[in-house]
This record gives sequence, C-alpha cells and structure tokens, in this order.
Amino acid sequence: MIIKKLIIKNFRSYYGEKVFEFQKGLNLILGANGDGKTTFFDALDFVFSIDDVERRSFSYSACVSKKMFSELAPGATGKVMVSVDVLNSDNRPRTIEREMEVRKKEDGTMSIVSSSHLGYLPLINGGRKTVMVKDLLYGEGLFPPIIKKYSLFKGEKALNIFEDKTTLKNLINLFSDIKDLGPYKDFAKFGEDTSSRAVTNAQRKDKQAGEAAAQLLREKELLESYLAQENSRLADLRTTYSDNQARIDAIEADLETIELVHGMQDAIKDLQDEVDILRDKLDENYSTNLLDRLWILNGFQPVLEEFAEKMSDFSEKKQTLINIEKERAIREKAEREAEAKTIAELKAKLTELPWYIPDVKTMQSMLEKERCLVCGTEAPKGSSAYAHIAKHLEEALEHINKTHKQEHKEEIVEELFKLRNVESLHQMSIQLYQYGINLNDISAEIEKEKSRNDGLHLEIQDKNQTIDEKQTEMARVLSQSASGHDIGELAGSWLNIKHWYKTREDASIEIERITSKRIPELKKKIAENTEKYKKAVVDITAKEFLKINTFYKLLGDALERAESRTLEEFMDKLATTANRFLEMLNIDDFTGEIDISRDFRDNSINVHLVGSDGKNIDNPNTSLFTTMHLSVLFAISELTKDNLNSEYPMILDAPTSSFDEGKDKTFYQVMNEKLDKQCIIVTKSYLYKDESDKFAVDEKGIQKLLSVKHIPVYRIQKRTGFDKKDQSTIETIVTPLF
Amino acid sequence: MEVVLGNLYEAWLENTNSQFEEDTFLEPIIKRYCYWHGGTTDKVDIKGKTFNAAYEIYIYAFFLGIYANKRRPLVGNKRNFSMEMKRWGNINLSMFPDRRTYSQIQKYVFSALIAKSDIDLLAIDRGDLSIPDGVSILMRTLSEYANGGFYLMKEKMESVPDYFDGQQSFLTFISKYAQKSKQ
Amino acid sequence: MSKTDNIFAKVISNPAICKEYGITDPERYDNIALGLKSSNGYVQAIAQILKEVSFTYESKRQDMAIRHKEGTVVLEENEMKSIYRKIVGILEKTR
Repeated sequence: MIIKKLIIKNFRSYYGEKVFEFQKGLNLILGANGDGKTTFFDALDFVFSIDDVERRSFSYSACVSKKMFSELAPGATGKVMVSVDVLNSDNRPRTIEREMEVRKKEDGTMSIVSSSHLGYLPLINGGRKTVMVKDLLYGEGLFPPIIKKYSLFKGEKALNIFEDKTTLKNLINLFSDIKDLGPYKDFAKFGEDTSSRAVTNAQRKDKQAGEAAAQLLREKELLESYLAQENSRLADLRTTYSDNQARIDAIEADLETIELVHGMQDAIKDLQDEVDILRDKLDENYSTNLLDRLWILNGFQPVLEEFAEKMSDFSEKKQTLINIEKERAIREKAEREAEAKTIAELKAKLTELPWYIPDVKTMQSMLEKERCLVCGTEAPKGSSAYAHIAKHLEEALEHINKTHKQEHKEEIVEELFKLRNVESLHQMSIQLYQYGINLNDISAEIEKEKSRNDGLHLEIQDKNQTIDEKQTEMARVLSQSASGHDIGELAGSWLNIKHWYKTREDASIEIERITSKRIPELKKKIAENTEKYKKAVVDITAKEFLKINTFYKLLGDALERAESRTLEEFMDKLATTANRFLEMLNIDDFTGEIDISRDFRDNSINVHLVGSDGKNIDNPNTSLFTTMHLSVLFAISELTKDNLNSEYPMILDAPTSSFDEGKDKTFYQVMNEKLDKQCIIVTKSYLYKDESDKFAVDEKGIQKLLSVKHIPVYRIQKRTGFDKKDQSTIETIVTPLF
Repeated sequence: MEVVLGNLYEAWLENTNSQFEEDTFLEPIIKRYCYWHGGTTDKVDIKGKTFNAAYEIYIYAFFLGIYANKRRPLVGNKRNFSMEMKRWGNINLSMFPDRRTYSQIQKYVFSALIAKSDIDLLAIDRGDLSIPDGVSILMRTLSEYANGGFYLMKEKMESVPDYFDGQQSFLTFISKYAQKSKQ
Repeated sequence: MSKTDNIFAKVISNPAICKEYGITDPERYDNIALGLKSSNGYVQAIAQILKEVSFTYESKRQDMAIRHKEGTVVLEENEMKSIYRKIVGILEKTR
C-alpha cells in the first residue's frame, strides 16, 4: 500500500482543508515542535484506526479545530475530516474517509451531530462504492493494525521495537515460514502419555518384569519432577533477571549521576558529622567558668597582696607587742634575779653573820626587844642601831617580797593574746600566695580558651561553607538531570540499586548453571533411564507400545528443535536484511554490523552493533544507534514485502533530531538516492533559527535534495500572531516547497 | 572536723547572713540569671538560666564590687540567702554534671574581706573584739561590696537592658574592672 | 510450499529421527504429499499427524472466526484420540 494523498480538514490545528500529496521513495515534512507535527500523526491514526480500545480513549471534541468552531454562528454546523487516498498491493486506488459533523449550540457549546468512518472503491463510471473500513484494512490487508504497529512511529523512542517483549512473537507469526507449533507439540505429548500408559498396563501382567519396569518408571517420574522444578526455577530466575534489568534500565541513563550524587550525599554527611564533633568540643561556659574554674579571680592579685600585707602587718605588730612584753618580762626577771642575788648575798651575809648577829627572826625579835641580841647592845627605838637593824630587816623583807611578785608577773605577760587568728590567717595568706592558684596565669588561660573556641568556630564555619558548596553543587547536578527520576531519592537508596545489580548478576549465574549443567544432566539421566526401560520391557504387547511411545517422544523433540531453529533462522534473516540497509545508509562509514541474538538470561531479544573486530559496541553514538533501529525496521518492512507480498509505507517522526550537525542532511540525501519504498518523515532538519529567532528553511539544502530527485517536501508551521492562551487563534499552515 | 574555739575563719564559714537589697535586685537581676529557690540541692529546672543557685551571682557581684572598688551600704528591704558560707561552691555534681565544685573560693572571699574591711585582728586575738562581732564586720563588708557590684550591673542594664544575656558578657564586664584594678 | 510443508521438512530432517527410522535422504521430503506416499511407515505417520492436526486446527479456527468467537484454538481430547488411533494403525503395520 502507498499513500497518495492525505487531506486534513479542520482537525485540531489544521484549519480549513490542508492537502498533502505523496509518492514512492522519500517524502519530507519540515516542522519544528509545536507546529503541528504530532497532529499530523494523530490525523493518520484517526483515519487508519478502528480499534474499539483506541476509540474509547478518544475525545471527539478535542479533534475539532478550535478556530473553525469559534467562527461558527450559534446553530451552525461545521465538518471535521481526514481522508486518505491510497493504492493497494494490486495498485488499485482506495479511499478511507473519517468525518464528523459538529454543531455550535445556542449556548456556545459543541454537540456532535454525526460521525462516519468509511472506505470507498472508485468505480469505472466515476462514482464510488462504499465499503466497510474493516474490510479494507483487515480483509484486503490495506493497513492491518499489526502492520501499522511496525510502520507508523511517533517519536524516536518508539523505534526500539524489541523493548516490547511481544514483538518477536508478533514478527514470527507474521513472517516466519512455519506456524505456531503449539498444536503439534500438544499432540505429540498426548501421544507420548497415552502410549506410556499403555506400556505400563501391558507390563503389569508380567509381574517380575513389571517390577523392574515399574521401578524405572518411578525413577523416571522422579527425574521428570526434578526437571520440572528446575524449569520452574529457571522461569522464576528469568523473571527476577528481567525485573531487575528493567529497574536498572529505567535508571541506567542516570546511573553516573546517581552515583555522583550518592558520593556527594556521603561527603556531606561526613562533614556534618565532623561539624557535630567540633561542636561538642566547644566549651563556651564562659559565665559558669568564672566560678567553676575560678576565672573570677583574674584581677585578684592586688587584693591578695593587700591581704598578705595586712596579715604581715598584723603579724608584725602582734609579734612586736609580744616582744615588748617579753623584754619587759626579761628585764623584770633580771631585776628580780639581781634582787634575788642581793637577797641571796644578803642572806648569805646574814648567815655569815657571827653567831652574835641574828637572822630575820632574831632581828625582828631584837627590834621588839630593842636590843641587839648579838652583842647585847641596847637598841632602843629611834637609835641608829635600831634604825640600822630596821633598815636591814626592811631590805631583806623587800627582796623576799619582790622575788615573790616577780614570779607572779611572768604569768600575767603570757595571757596578753588569747587567740591565734593572726597567725593562722597569716599562714593562710602565705598558703594562698605560694600554694594557691597562680592568679597570673588566669588571664592567659581565659585567652587560650577563647582562642580555642574561636578556632573551633572557624573550623566549623569552614566546614559549613564546604557543606553549602557541596549542597549547591548537588542541587545543580540534580537540576540538570533531565530524567523524570528523583535522583536525590535514588542516590539515597544507593544500596538498593547496588542490590539490583547483585541480584541480576546472581540470577544470571544461576541461570547459566541451570541451563548449561543441571538441565542437560537431568535430561541425560532421563535418556539413560529410557534406554534401561526399553530393555526392561519384555512383554511383546508392551514392547509394541514402547515403540509407539518412542516415536512420539522423538516427534516431540523434533518439533522443539524445529521451533528453536526457526527462531534462530528468523533472527539471522532479519539481521542480514537489516545489515543491507545499514550498509546502504552508511552512516559514519561504519564498518561493523548489526547482530540480533537471544539473551538466554531472560529470553529477550537484543539488537546491537558489533565492530569489525567482532566486539560489541555498547554505547554507539546517537546517529548510529538510530540508524541501527531504522535498519531493523526497514528489514521488517522488507520481510513484509517478501512474505505477505505487500509493501507498506514507513511513517516516522524526526528520527534524526539527535543526529549531529549536518549528519541528518547526509542521511536524507542517502535515503533520497537509494530508497525505493515510501517513507514519510516529519523532521526539524532543514530548519534553522534566523536573526529574528524564527525558524527559516534551509533553501539550499532542499534544492540539493530536489536536484537529485524530485520529491514532495512540505513545510508545516503555526501561523504567526497567534495567542498562546486563545486556542482559536492557532492554525497550522501547510506550504509545499517543491 | 576539729573545731578550734575562737577561730574567726571557722566562725565565718558558719555564717548565713549574706544580704542584698531585695526590692532592687531580686527580680531584675537575681531571678533573671539564676534559679531562685534556695540551695543547690533542690531539684531545679535550670534551663536557660546562666547560673544555678542565686548566691552564684552574688559572688559575681561581690568580686565585681571589689575590683571596681565600689562599696555601697544597703538600703531598704534586706534579704539573705540563708546559706552558710561553707556551702558556697559545693555543687551537687550528680545533679549538675557539667559543673565543677569550687569551694576554694571561700578562702579567697574571706581574704578579700580581711583585706578590705577595718577589722582589728589584734583586738580579736586579744579578746577585745568578740568573734561574732568580727564576723559581722566581715559580712557587712561582703554585703556592701556585693551591693556595689549589683549597682554597677543595674547601671549597665539601664543602658543595655539585655547586656548580660550575651554568652561572654559576664566575663567581659568583670574583666574590664579586673584589668583596671591590676594597674 | 505451505507452512505445514516446512514443518514436515524440518521434522523429517531431524538427526535423531533419521537415525532411529533409517531415513537416509530426508532432503527429498519437502512436502507432506510426498511423505504420505512414503514406503517408510514412520515417515508416513509423521506426515499424517501433521496433516490431521493442521486440518483439525484450521477448521476449528475458521469456525470460531465465523462465529466471531474470541480466544485460542485448542484440540480436545477426543479429537486427539481419533488421530492417535489412526496413527497407531499406521505404526502397527510397520516392521
């Protein structure tokens, strides 16, 4: 089928009737984002889809051109239509039209008056015959959905068709040279089971032989149950593998960023921990330290000195007073001693008195008797002799008394200072002075504390600044990430992500073990058991049934083998065809090729590039990558031609927008030269922004293209002067450039 | 503890008559920066207060008065802490683990009182001046210097109301006067 | 060559089957019609199976399509049994 003409009328931004005429080979539609590119595809979908599911999500009123509707008078009606003229595989013209009639009610709202979706066959007489669209699309095979799926691509991401796991099955169903082997395999199994039962039954009659065979059968059942378990485990592992793979795929593009951010998060956390440690070290109890560490004594030195001086003074004074007293005591003592000496001398003299000189008593009595008892001389009172005796007596008595008093006085001097506070406080002052806190050190200690805290504050500030810088950097990285993921959150669960990789890896290893070792081993054991069983079956009838059983087993195996061979053959064919296109497109002078193979880990299909050295190219540049997928699509389209004897157009949305500068034009030049099949491409290529920041057409480039082959080139653009907020002013203009 | 009869220092330690002007200072200063409840052994919520027990700021005011050489007799309602001098600085560490005991301060306070008051120790030792009377002289000296210190603080707070809320304010303020007194 | 012919060709050329049933020239069997005429009973049986299963399956499918019924086509037990018996007959004649 090829599309000859497309008419879009009042469909969304396409106001009025817009006509596109296409031909075989390359057809270009130039448009930037917002110009009506998406609507172009939606219009094609609109006319080519009859799927009920698609219809349900469809909003009819959204299809109507707002501009057209705004111009309707209340009560008036307008038409919306998309129609396509095609040529079918027999080159016969066909038309499909889908239209809607809408009315603007009195209150300004929209009501849908009628809608129709019909096919037409032109008649020889000039008229046309109406047919059901379904009959055209499906029955005649004009554009069945399964084909449309691999022909109409909106957006580049859609090009990797094998991301959809059903693709391979669909393609095989469409193109492979054998059908689904399901029914045949089912029958072979049925045959195997039926004949197996027959063998057992026949064997039962021969008891002895039956025992041995029965034992082998039991063994076989056991082995088969193990095999089933391994297969079940394999299926689970494959699911685990592909689940984790899917998770990894989802974030793979961001993996570097996630890891980077995770590193940053860790670094920030470490710094914050360091800050906490530093904060703990702070000791800013300046006020309570005045007491606890006696900082309040900073400045106390003069007071202490005053105290010491005072105490020294008191001590001196006290000592002086004590000394004075002591001296006096000594003097008096000396005097007394002198007196005592005199008395002693007197006493001695007294005793030296001749027997006729009396002692004190005698003297006294002499005085009384007025007579010297010594010499008998009369000493009457008043006489010099009397006075003489009296004087001596007085002196003697005085000395005796003095001595007595002196002893008494010494006791009184001792009692001058009863308490010893001066001494103990003087002691205290010395103690504080010499052994107390070194008051001169306090000022330095305070300063040291302050500067220690200041230093810590600086460090903390420094680290906080680094934290800020890192957080800003992290925010920048996060804001630049174009993906829809919450990178910050993913980075936080970095361990989870690592776990996905591990789980996937573990599953892969286990899958390898099961598929390359355990399952083959079990199958070998089952085969051995079968051989033994054959020998154990001795009954003739049973032997017959065994033959039949063997037959069905072999048939079943052969069908399995045929199926997997078919798959491999298909992939080879697809790859070969794709490589032809790859070579033709020859982007970047690439010398490698496309390889299509099955990933045994999850049974998915991988399409990748292999260099001329045989090594996989894991990260090809975008243009190569896109070309690879396009080649596969072209290959499928080719297979469609070969197998179904019909060809279909490829309708793509700007697969070249990610190409490097200039490469896209080369791509189109090559396509133009070499392409035979119809390709309608909507692209931003050949448009560039001019001085007034508007998109302009690269006329030269287009002319170059047209000089090789005259192809349809259209420009679609929004009419200038539209009001973004008023959708009724938006209109797409279609301009042919050829 | 051996009690030496007639020891002035020992007798002073037992005294509880440290006084302050209640109306002037209890609310604006003492309650603001301390927990007013009595001694350090009471269960106390000290969140947000610079000092624990109230006598602590009294000590501060005393030294402030000493360094600034400001002695001022008390007027008005006089209130005392009812806590023996010997208990000053004996912090209950199990209740306030981030503090330390500083009971050595008692000796320094005492030595300042001896230095700054006019007590005649000879008279004490002679017995002419009784120990209780001697202690009174010292306590009056204590109260009056503390009072002087409090008035200095009050003056400062009149120009800068939350001056003493700062982390280093208490330290800075007294250091100023301490510097001057060293010269 | 129909798809069923292709299946037949692939099964017949399977090495295990060739070995077991003495098929020395599997290449010449490129369609079912040839297989049905073979003197080798096993080759005949295989051709027969493919023909019968294919036929039954197709008619059931078309029947469902006509009646606009949805779903996959499944061979029922009695259908398989009848084919089975036919094949047993062929195999029994083989020596």
